Amino acid sequence: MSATSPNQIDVEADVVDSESKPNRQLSYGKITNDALWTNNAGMVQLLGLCPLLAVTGNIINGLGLGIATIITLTCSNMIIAFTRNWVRKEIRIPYYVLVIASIVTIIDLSMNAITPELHSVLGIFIPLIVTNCLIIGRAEAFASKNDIPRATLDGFMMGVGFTLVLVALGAIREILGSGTLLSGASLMFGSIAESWTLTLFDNYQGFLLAILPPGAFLVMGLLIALKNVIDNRIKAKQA
Amino acid sequence: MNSIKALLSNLVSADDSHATAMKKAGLSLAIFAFISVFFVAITDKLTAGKIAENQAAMLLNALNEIAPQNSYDNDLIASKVIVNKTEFNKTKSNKSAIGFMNNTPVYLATKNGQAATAIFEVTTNKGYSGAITLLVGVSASSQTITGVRVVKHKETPGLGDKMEIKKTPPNKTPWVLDFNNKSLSKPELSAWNVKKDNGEFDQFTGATITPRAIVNAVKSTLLYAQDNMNALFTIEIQSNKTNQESN
Repeated sequence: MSATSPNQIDVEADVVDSESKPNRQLSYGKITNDALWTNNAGMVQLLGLCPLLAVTGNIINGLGLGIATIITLTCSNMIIAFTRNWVRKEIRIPYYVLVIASIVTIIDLSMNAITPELHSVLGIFIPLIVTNCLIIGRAEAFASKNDIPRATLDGFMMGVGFTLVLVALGAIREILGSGTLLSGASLMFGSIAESWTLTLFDNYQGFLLAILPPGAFLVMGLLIALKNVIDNRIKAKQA
Repeated sequence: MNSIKALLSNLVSADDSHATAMKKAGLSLAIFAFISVFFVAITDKLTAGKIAENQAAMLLNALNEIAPQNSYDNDLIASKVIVNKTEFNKTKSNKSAIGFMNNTPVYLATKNGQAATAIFEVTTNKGYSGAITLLVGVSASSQTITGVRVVKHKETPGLGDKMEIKKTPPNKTPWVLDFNNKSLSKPELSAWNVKKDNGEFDQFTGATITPRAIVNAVKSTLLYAQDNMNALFTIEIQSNKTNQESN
């Protein structure tokens, strides 16, 4: 992870110039807007692609990874913003790795003890988060340069933006791949959700490509294209 | 707290010589590592007992699906025997039993000192993508299957994972329930295969390897149980008796 993350961060710093200027205080509205759309973690920064593509075979898995990411990212941004004045810049990357790995371990252990049912669903996603460049990317690009409330909001909103992409990707792949929506919802929401699963086509044989990783890349590409189309339309209207 | 803050602030000052900077960087990283490890260790200490408890409860839940709570009266989790995998694989009538990866824990359910059900936790490596772990319950008296559940696997989502009851669409009967009440004579031994291999068991559309692995694993377990059921229970029942006598 540490071998690739510096590159990721450089790329990202080019994308969003405003965040690399340390002393400028961003408004909360702009942070939210950036995280959810303009600088979306999944579709613009393209961070954390490995878990993103690996688990989004259906909505519920996407939602599971999303929730786990929101928790981790909010905590890590908060802690890194809190300690930002005490960390020498030479050791900041190992420091981020240390903080993120500790947070993930603590969340994993606590969830396993407190909510074993939820852990049996989200448990497989939590180790995936350690390998997620998104977390260290936000630590470097935002949390280390902003105050605690802004960094916390950024972490939470980036997580939400990431979750939205995961859910959209999961929904499209689930419809194409297995012809259902929300299958397995009862794993996450309990027995009330048993009737939530929608079977869209009867006797659908499934389109295997959509469920496997290559399908994830294709759908992801289409989603990014769709976002660009929307952005261009907005620009054209404003002009 | 304030002294730590002062120390940390001192460690960040920028106008150091190269050597001092390195020393300070190392020291502050060590401090942060210590703090992180401290929190992780505390969390581990606080949660370890609860986690072990939860896992035992989950295992018991899974076992109770195969051997209902009223069908036994011993401590199911404690009465566990480990069958060595080489022994499992070389049983005389079990030559076809290939692919068991791990030593197999067997949970022995007894009622009133009589053998009731043996639940084998077998792991086969014949799955489509790696190991599949199953719980196979075999009735001690009739040598029939009391239930099969898949507990761990990495099969293709949407295809191979239909053997999980949770992943079965609500309007269909879960595939693993087909095994209930089957035995080595029902169907014939030669029919203990998926339909593609001229057997009796359904495969899934687009996934034959997963059901084949499971059918073969269950068959091998039955073959092992046929030869060793009494031996497994003898030790368990005797140790129960000695316990009761010493009580």
